[in-house]
Amino acid sequence: MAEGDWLDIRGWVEALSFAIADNTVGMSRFWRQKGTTADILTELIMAVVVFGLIMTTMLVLLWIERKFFARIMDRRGATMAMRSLWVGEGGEHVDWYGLLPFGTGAPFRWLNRWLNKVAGSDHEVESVARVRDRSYHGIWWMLPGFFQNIADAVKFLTKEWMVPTKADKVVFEVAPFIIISSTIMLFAFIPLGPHVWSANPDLSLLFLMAIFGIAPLGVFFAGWSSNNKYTLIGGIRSAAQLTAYEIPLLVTVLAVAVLSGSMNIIEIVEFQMDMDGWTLFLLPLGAALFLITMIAEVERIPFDMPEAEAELVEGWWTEYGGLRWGLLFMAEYLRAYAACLLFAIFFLGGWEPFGGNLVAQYTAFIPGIAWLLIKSWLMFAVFVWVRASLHRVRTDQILEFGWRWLLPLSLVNLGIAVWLRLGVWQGDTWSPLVIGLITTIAIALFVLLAIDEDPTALEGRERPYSVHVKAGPAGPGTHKK
Amino acid sequence: MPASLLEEFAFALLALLAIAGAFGTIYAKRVAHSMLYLIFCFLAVAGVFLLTGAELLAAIQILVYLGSVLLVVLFGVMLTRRQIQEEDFE
Repeated sequence: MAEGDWLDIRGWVEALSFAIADNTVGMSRFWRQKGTTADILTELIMAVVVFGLIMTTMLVLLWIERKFFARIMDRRGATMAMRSLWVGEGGEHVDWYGLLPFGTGAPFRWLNRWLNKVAGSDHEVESVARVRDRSYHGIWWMLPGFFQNIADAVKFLTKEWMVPTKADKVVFEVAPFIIISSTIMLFAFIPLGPHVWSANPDLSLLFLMAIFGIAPLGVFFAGWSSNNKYTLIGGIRSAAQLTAYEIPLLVTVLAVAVLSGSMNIIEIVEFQMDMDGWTLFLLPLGAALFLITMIAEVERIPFDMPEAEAELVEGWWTEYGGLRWGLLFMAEYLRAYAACLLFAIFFLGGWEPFGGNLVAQYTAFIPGIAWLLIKSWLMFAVFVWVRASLHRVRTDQILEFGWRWLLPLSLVNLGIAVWLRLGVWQGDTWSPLVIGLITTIAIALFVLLAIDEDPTALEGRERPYSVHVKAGPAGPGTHKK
Repeated sequence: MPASLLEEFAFALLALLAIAGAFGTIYAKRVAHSMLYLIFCFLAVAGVFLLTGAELLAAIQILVYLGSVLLVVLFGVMLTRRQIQEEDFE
């Protein structure tokens, strides 16, 4: 079904801008180009719409990062978030309103009591109270974590902007521009739905990958211009990392383009919808490679050597502070968001509903953008899961991994894609045998590789660098014992 | 403003940027500065390619040259003597 869904935002915007052009063009004798005016208006409004959609839905990403990561690593602070204002830690909150003179803190005390009554941790069943103390109140009481983002934004906005005395000031100011502008430019080419996109050139895939590669330049210049050895090491690591993953990433993306027969992102999604199968089941190796190289591209934890806060204070952005830091951090998450969206588009069928054509007629009331966003958020949960599970690789390890494993495997993947397209593709559909066979082989290989761990590590269950602490699971009040 | 006039204006801007970037590449005192100018020069050239309708060439220009510029500047910074850390810029 290439016709798309009912959420025809682009169509509405076009109608609106033509109406505006009809009613305004001709007011001045220098302003008579009706079609041009309507086109420019359409593009402007669509750019704003897509940007707004991305920025608002990005809050979910930060929320997933905070909550899911805190759940996995059992961090109390982040799981408590907003509720810690009145519930406090282990049932004790800061009695700051009791310090106010003349009893002016009384309304706050009443508010606190009321909030604790409505949304506190007390429950007659002790285990329920314990769970509530970890801020799990079902979906509604997890939502207040969103306000943390506003608090962060206010903090960044009110901080002083400082440039190190010995920094190269012009480059120091230009580098964030390169990073942030190229990151936001990415979303011009990422379609959010069949009718929700900002730009759709024939070669949108190529433009997208080209723009994806600009930010490491900005990272390098940011690290170089700060005139600090940690930032310089971070910047050089970013450049070294680029040489390891950029080529496998591009070859993997090329395999997707070969399989779909198009370099247009919307056509790649439509190819998956038409054949009613996700590329994930046809190129499982490509999906794995794309996931790995994309995590390296957005510099998240297994490959976040440029940042490496354990070794290099804060990596290349050590010297950035205030709003610049906030915007750079936002750009970092936007890049991760773009990576998730791209994985969903390339391998998870984009805006095709779960279940494909079998359920398409029953889910027609759900716009495609909802499916795409849900898929990309799930992918981001995988990113967070990876971040919580794996440790950081070394520079030589990623170089060796990139050149000796990722590059040959991506070439094999490209060969598979060419063979599938030329030898197996029947014109409009795949024989179910192909998808079943490839998926079975992929699952079997994955299981084999997953079982084949270091036998001594499996026997002893001992981590070489861990400190063996006899500690029970954390819970409310355990910090006091 | 007719579309062609807009295009000419954009071309003039991009051409000026490319020339300025090329001169900056030559006359900059520091390796990294000249590489930054080179990036702007390449981006402007990619923009000129876009204006002429050569979209593939523009994308390849950004994809290939900007990555290689990063490697060039990397070697430039690593293999040349550098007074950073000890003295101020200007």
